Amino acid sequence: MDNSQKVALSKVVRDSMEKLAFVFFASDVFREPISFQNVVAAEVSFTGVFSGRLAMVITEPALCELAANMLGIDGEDVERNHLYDALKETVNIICGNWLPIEGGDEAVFHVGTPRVLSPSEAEASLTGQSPSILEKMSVDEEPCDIYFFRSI
Amino acid sequence: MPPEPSFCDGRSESMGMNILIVDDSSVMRTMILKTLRMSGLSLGDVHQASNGVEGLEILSRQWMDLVILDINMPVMNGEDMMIRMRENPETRDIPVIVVSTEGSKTRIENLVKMGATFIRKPFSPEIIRDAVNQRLSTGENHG
Repeated sequence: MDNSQKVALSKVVRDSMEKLAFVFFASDVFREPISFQNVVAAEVSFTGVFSGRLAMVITEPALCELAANMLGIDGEDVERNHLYDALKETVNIICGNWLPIEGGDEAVFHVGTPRVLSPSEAEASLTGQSPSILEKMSVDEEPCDIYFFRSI
Repeated sequence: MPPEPSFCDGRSESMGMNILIVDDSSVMRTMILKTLRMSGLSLGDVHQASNGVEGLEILSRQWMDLVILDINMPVMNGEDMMIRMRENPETRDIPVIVVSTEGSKTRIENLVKMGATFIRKPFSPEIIRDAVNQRLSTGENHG
C-alpha cells in the first residue's frame, strides 16, 4: 500500500467532513480496525477508467454527531432514516472527491447509489478481500474506518 | 422516502424567489434549504424533489426562478433532467446550479455549456449563497 495514497485519502476525508459538517476527523493509525459489532457502514461502487468501491464504517455515536451537524439539529433529534441518509451522502462525497485524485480529473467515473450495510454484510463485504487502502480515523475519540478497493 | 412538495399553481403571489431543490438525499436537501434560509435571500416557495422525474413534474405546474440540482440520482439523473429542461421552451431559461460530487472535468464542462453553475460537494454556505445571488441577479441562463 502506497503511504502517500493513505495520506491523500485521509486529507480528502478530513477536508470533506470539516466542510460538510464542521466535524474534525483525524488519522488514528495505531489502533486495530473497528470490529463489525455495533457499527454502521455504507459503501458506494464506481466504474470508469478503473472500478472499485469505497466504504465507511463508523460507530453510531460518531455518525449521530455527523448527521446532527449536517442537519443543524441536536443529536437526540436525529431520526434513524436521517442517520443512514447522512452516512450514504458522506460516503458519496468522499468517493466523489477521492476519485479525481486517484484517477486524475480528466477521468470519467460513474458513481453508483450508496447503500447501507448491516454489520454482518459489512464484515463479509469488507474483509473478503484486502483493501487497496484502509485508513483508520477517529472523530471525538470514536473510531471510523475508510476502506477503498480498486480493481482493474 | 420521496419529499412532499408543496402544491401551488403558476407563479407564486409572494415576491420571493421560487426555488426547486432536486437531490436524492433528504439530508442534503435539508442542508441546502437551511443554507438558503440563512443566506438572507428573499425566498418564495421552495420545493423539493428526489429525482429528475419528480423535478420535471414540479416544473410543469409551478414557475421556478432557480433550480438547484444534484447529478447522481436514481430514476432520472440531473444531467438528463437538465437536457429535458433545455429542450422545453417553458423551462429552458431557468437558471440551474448543479451541486454534486461529480469530479470529471469533461462532464462538468458539458453541464456548464448547458448553462449550469457548478458547485462541488461539500460546499460552504457562502458558496451556495454567492452562486444563488449571482445567478438570480444576472439572470444569465445559458453558458
